[in-house]
Amino acid sequence: MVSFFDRPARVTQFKLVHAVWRRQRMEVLPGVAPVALLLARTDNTVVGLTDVRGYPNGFVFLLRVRWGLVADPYEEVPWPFPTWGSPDPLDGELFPDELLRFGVQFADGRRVTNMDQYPFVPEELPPDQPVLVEGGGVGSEGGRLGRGAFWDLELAVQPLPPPGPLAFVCAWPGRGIPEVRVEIDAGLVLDAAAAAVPFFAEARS
Amino acid sequence: MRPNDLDWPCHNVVPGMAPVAAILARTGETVVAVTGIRAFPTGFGFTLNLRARNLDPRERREFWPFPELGRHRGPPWSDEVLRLTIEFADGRSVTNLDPSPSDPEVPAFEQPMLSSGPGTGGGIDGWSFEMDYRVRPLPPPGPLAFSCVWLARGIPSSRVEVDGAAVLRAADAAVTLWSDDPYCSAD
Repeated sequence: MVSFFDRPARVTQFKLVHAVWRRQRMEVLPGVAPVALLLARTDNTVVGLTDVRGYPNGFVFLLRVRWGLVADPYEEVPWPFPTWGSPDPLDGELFPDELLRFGVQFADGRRVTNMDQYPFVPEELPPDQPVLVEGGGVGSEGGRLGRGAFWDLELAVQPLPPPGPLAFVCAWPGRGIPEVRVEIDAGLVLDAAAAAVPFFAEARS
Repeated sequence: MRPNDLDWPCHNVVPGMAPVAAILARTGETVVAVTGIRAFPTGFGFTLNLRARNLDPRERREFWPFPELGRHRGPPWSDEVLRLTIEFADGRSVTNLDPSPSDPEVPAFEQPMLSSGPGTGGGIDGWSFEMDYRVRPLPPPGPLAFSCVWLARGIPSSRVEVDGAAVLRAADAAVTLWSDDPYCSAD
């Protein structure tokens, strides 16, 4: 008799990518790169990037998004990051101006952005195609004294970049930020990755 | 607004980075590491990375070594508590067991202060924690020491030093975005 659940378990690229990251984060102490960037800055909005950590199979960083003071502390703050259910495909506009566009480009031209299929991972992922993995974050939509919203969002890129310029690119039409590009030497990330060590000597990684 | 309502580090500062990733203590079952360091104009932050494995059944159900949050009460402190000390090159120090401020003879602003959070943690076969800590003021030049004692995990005392001057250089690179944030103290 065939069971209702007899189909073989499916290992998707999404599961695989996240499993690699979970295991790496659990088992490896990353190296840290001396990187602190202001990607974009206007009178009332800043996008910064710090806490770049190198792992054997990629790197992690913290995207620091800050709003300045707001006139109306009770104004509803649109969620600025594309996520599982946002933007809502039934709302018409697939990538509204309120969303922060962000991406990374390697020296050889390969790139990944938070548009495309993010935060999902394509099943037909070429072996060397970079993927962007969303980690945890903290934030606030503002305060009663008029402070604007802030978010610290952890993102990971897999795999490591090749030597050469490593570009971080962002644009945020809804906050008056045109497309900006800031490059660092990928060697900083590669050096950090080379300094990563297993927490326990016999750990897998 | 009360002082405790103020944010520290202020959210409108993008910190400079002094790259540090150091194993503070390691046994076959336990690792304590320090990563960061995020440097601000008036202090710095770091992440305490903990890994513990080969746990007994009770530890598998509940594992919480942080004295400043949660179920632990002291003094006296249980051996299950991870004791963490930050020591400046001039001898000033602060621990995660200290009430705040720790020394009534030293002006409050000159005393090192240690506060914790946010953090993440969890585990199945073992426990993993990444806990953020913040220290102020900035350290003087010279060795900046992190030390820990964790008796229940077989760590009697362990210490690692980083360059306090590197933290100061990173603090110089921190960028204050808006100076008039009512949630941020003026120090």
